Amino acid sequence: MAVLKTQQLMVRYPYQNASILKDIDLTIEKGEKVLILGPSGGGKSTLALTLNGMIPKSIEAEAEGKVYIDGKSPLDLSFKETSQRIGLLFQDSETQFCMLTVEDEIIFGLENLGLSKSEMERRVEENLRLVGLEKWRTAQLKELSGGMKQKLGIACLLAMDTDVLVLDEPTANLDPASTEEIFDLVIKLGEELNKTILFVEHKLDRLLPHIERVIVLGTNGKIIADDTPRNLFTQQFDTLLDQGIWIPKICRFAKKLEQQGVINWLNFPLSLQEFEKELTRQNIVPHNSMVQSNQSRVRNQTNTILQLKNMTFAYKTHEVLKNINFSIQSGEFVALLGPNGTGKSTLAKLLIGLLHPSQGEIYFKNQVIQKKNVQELMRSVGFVFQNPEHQFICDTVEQELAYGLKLLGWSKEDWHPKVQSLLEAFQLVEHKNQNPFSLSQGQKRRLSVATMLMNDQELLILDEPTFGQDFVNTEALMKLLRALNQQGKTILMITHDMELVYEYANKVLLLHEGEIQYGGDVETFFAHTTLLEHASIKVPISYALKHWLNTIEGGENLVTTLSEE
Amino acid sequence: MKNSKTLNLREIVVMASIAIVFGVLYLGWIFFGQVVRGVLGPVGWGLITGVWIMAPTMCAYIIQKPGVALAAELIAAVTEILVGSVNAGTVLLLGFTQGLGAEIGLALFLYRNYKLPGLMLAGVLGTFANFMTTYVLYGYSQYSPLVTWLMLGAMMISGAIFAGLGSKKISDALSCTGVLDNFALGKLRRQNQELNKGV
Amino acid sequence: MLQHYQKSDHFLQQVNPTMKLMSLLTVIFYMVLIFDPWTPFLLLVVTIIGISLFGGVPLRFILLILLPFSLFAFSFVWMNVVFPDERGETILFTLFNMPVALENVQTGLSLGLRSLVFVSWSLLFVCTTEPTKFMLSLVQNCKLPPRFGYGMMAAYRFLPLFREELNQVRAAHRIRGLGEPKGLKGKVDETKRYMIPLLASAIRKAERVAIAMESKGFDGSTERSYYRVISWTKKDLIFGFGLFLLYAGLTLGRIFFLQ
Repeated sequence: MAVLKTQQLMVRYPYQNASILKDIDLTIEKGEKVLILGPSGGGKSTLALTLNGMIPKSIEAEAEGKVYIDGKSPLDLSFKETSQRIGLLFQDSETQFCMLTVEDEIIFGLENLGLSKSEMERRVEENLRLVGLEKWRTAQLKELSGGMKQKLGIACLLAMDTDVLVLDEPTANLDPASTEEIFDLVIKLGEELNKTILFVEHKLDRLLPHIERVIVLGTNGKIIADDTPRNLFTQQFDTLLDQGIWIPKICRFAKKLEQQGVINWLNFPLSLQEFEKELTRQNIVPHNSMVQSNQSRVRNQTNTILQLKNMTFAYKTHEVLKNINFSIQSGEFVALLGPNGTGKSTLAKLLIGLLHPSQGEIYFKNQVIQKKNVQELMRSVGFVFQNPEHQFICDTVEQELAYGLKLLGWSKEDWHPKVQSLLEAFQLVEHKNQNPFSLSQGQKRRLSVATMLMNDQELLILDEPTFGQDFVNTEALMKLLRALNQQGKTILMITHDMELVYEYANKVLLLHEGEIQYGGDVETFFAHTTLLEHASIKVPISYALKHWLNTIEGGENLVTTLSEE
Repeated sequence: MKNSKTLNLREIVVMASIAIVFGVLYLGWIFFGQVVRGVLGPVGWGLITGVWIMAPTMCAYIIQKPGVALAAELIAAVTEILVGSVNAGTVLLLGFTQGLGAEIGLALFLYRNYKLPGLMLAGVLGTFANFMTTYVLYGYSQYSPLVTWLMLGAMMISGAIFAGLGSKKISDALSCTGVLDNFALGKLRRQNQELNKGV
Repeated sequence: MLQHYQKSDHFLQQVNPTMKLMSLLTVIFYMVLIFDPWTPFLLLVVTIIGISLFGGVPLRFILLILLPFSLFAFSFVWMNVVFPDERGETILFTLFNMPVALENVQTGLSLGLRSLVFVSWSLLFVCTTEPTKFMLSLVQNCKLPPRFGYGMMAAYRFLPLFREELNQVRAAHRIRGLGEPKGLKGKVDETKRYMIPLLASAIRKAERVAIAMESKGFDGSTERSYYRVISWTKKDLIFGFGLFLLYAGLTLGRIFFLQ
């Protein structure tokens, strides 16, 4: 019997004309590993919450049609009964816990089930061991990293002994190293324990080979595809592209090669391994010659905009940044990399005078910035925070954009056209009277960037601007940044996403263990195997693909064409 | 979802979180409050007491169910103890009496009117209850009546302004951000929007 | 620091939180009827020694916390000297043409010390009670509906997060061109500005955590088992008896010495 089944499911949120889910007929068998794809805001999370009855029991929405878990409707089951059948892991690791320590959090769920103390003891021990947190049993939750919190989240669900696990973008807020760990863990446990797993994800380059079935939700709220990954990406490629749905880099690349008649795939590749295997089988071998990097993106300007000389920064007695030296030329697109907790955000704050160096100097256009105050510096430097909402002050989008100019004493006649042109440039015209907080994730991000360009700032610093953003928004933002960069703005971006670094940046700064361990061009950086390994940075797929390009006729331009899609 | 009169988990966590946010913001004011109280005495202190009742009137205005003001103030008191307030004892008593005061204010309007006058009355009765409690706790009977009357007046004004007007303004601004869409206040706003569209 | 004291296994830490909470309330009610300075003084000394001896909290820590509250306590003295209900007869001296009476100083001292007694007992509770244990005791011993107990716990967990967020908002607003606030009005405006982003984020977080809790089978009912049972023990009996002795001693002392 199917573990999960829906019939003609329809969900609509109050005051919305269109249903977010429509005509959903779904049958999922025990042990299946299913991936759910769909455009952002397209009802993936809604589906997850409807499957366990949270919609409409706790979240107000109109729901029609039938849902069955193990043959029973969640509406007829209590929270307790539902939680033993289906478990949800959420995106935000901060907001899925309600207790203070690791063991208390697992116990919370077990107490809900009314288990005996000895049974609880057994389950806590067993599941902490499964996720590798047994040493952290009595630790406070606030001591855990994001990745460990998600592991704990998994342990909590496993402890409830559910058959079905629904993972709603659990790695969206994690760095690449933790993301990989979480995927490996889920895949391993899912197979060992024969769980049915539904993934809602968009960072899938690693996950795809383990997925048996992909269900695609369209922008109209209906299921538009339900197939194996290989069939899906070969046969429905264009549909997916139209709907703005994530397609793995390797598949896009492989498709391109096929379209250009370079190769005819017998087995369409879903991973780099498969890609290489297939090429080898077709007797295509890579040249190991160094590929011409996109030199076009390196500008030949020598106008130093930012320079750090022997800068050291310490919190109390703890030295966070040691003897930092680097400079950024005007017009560069710089990626600041490094593992979590190495002080990237601290460095960024130093650059705009929110913090001050303990020793050494920071020069902005040959002037020491300590001598300027934040307000003065802000007229030439924009700073975009990780959470766009933190920067909002006004009641409407238009006012938000005008704010900085009004502060500089501009009259309405002066600021109005300027604001208007920014609204257009950032596709916010329709939303100009909306409250900034009520915008979508992508719109909020665009607004936060726009507010920082009001004064034609020359340098834009961004602290993980793609954090928690989905694939479509990420692409849109990056294209925007590239356009700004081409207009001559200098960009310094903190990021964990190596694909983005490789595609967009022309300079890398690696901050690790309090020091700048690398400062230079992107191509050389990814060739530095030991350095990368030490900082647990993975080479992006596009880079790995690169040495195949020369081999294949017409391949030279492919990476650039790919990123310009 | 049923529109029941009892508080559901979501509303409880939201009330407690609002209490915590106010707690975090108050931290910047505690020292200031002590100075005011030490230097200006009870009358000056009375002028800012309304601030401590903002959370319950705000919760009542947002959730609009009977008992919310009292529950919110008690939740705020308990969370303050969890946080480690060194006024745990008085906070708990005050939480009960202030909450009750504000609750009576809203009950007098039969929980139908969540407009400014009702909220201001709730604020005034909240600070009035605070006055009665501290009167007993800190022995205000030993002061000259003039001072105690002045103090009561200051507190009631403060209640109307901060807990009544202030809470309403903040909640309305918050409602515009869309985060209250699942609560009574946000629903009202959206209903009004729909009506306006129809016109 | 606080956490460290709450976790140690001294006598007071093992007393049932509900017992401690009740004792705190009885102390408040007992003190309300007293207007001489000696009783609160004695009680204050006994309490401070008690916290340090039976709760393992260093004297220094306790006194450091009480220090700012003495300013508040002192305000009672001058309030009673300047605005007494009835001016006392034993004039000690005159200050700026105002007679200062012994009786008023004594009442002021009594009220000031009373406020310190409240603080010290609150300190006793807060320093020796783990938040989780307190919540469990409220649910298990006081029949607080679990919905409220665990709901508050979930929100309490956000405290460090909100603090962090306040710092972020502060930095972000500075960058938007808002400098350090000037004067009282500046401070009020600033607080108002911080409120919306903080509250908006708090409400969204709260909604999410509530959904997560219900997804884990939490229905708020009392039908649940407990891994940690907060029971009544001999220690509570000893604590109660000690409290009784303290009240009895104080009351007898008052009868013999103050009459």
